[in-house]
Amino acid sequence: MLLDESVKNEDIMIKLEGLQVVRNGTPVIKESSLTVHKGQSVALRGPSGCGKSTLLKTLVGGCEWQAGRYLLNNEPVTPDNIHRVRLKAGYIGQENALSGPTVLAALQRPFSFRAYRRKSFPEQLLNRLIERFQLSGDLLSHHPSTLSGGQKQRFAIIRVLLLEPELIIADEPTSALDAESRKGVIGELLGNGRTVISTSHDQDWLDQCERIVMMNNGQIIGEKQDVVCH
Amino acid sequence: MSSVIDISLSGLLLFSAFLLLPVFLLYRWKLIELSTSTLVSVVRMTVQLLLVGLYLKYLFELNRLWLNMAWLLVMITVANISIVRGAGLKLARFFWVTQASLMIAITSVCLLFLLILIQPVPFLDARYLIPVAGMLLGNCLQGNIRALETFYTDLRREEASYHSDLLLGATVSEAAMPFFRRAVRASMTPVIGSMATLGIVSLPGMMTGQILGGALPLTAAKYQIAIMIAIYLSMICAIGLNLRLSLQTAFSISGLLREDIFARTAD
Repeated sequence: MLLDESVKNEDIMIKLEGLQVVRNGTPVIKESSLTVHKGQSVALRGPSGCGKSTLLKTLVGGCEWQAGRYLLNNEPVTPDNIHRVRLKAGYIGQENALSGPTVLAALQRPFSFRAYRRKSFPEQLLNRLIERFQLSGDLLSHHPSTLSGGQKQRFAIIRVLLLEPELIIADEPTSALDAESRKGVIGELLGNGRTVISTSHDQDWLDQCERIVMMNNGQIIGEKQDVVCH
Repeated sequence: MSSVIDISLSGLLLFSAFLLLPVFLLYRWKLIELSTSTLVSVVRMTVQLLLVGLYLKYLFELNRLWLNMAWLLVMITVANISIVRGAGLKLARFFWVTQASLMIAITSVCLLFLLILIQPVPFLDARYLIPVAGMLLGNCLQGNIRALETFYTDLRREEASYHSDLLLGATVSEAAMPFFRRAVRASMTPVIGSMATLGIVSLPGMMTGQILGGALPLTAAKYQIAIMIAIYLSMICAIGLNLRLSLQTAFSISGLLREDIFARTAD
């Protein structure tokens, strides 16, 4: 029994206990608890403005939490060690800000950060992802501002995948993609046994996620099969 | 060369009276607020400069090291307050950072200027220290306002771009580097441009003053070259230090830009 318990704990990647985020005096995330196991793909669902994006951002320290406990691999995460999470997680936000004179420079930029300086730029992986995401290699020499919304979103995902993170936090990762390119992105993000926590309104994406966690009014209210819809 | 010709008070008053003409015109053009602010500014300038002239007269006569240093501190503190307020930031958060940056930049460049070029006796003679520090501070003031304003306004407006690096593992200084470059460029470009055209487009104030004061034009030119280099050095030093040191106070422990550093709320 005890052994089972410890194996279970080792398997946990993210654990939130009563997490609370307050913005301008108003709680936007209210005492939310969530456990995500390694290799699991979880999608947060709920009405617009219910706190899904805030919760995802909080996981990588894009918002600060005021109460509750946050554990990564069973170790407590605090605002002063959130950098540890950022090195393990790849965050794909809704605003795909690619900065640099060219798309290639924007993709290479994280490799100039102290955290990744020793890592060499994975050109082979880049070429594979460009092909998988149905992009043209010529776009690498373009200025990021010349890309379409869909191209920008796919390159933002590539930028994260090149860092080979253990955990992916993705906020509407397929929102600007057509059906054809969605397939490649969904396959790459959800089909490789990675731990993924996401939000999405895309049914294809949701169908591929192992768990659908429901949120309402800043609170996690349960899993899809547990929630009775009125 | 003759020594400087003093201006008579009656002459200065007569010359100032010509200002009434544009003030009247502005009034006629229904730019009443501009004509009022012209009058207020001219009165303020006159009172301030006469008081400083009077104060400096005694400062130069006494020429005490502690008094010179105290006056320098007052000048830096006033510049500091103007910089932080001018950049739309909260004084409580930025006071010590800006004060330290200005003190390091101004004193080190002033010391170099006096040590290498003038070598006055006594070394920190008020006649040299105070005017040189004043010229450097005047330029640092504009440069630092521009740098801090550009840096923090852009960071606030383009927070998504900053976050996209920070949340992927960049440190605060790495994620803020594009904004740092932009702020340094915006604040240093005017002084670089002014150096390139100095003497052709305009005769600088210091050189004009020295020539009017009886100096040889070549001596005045050498002083002007030295002061422009000193301005450049003090500006880049103060701006670089101010931006870098302010990262400690402007960001939370997890690297997020603090909203309470801004004096004005976001639009």
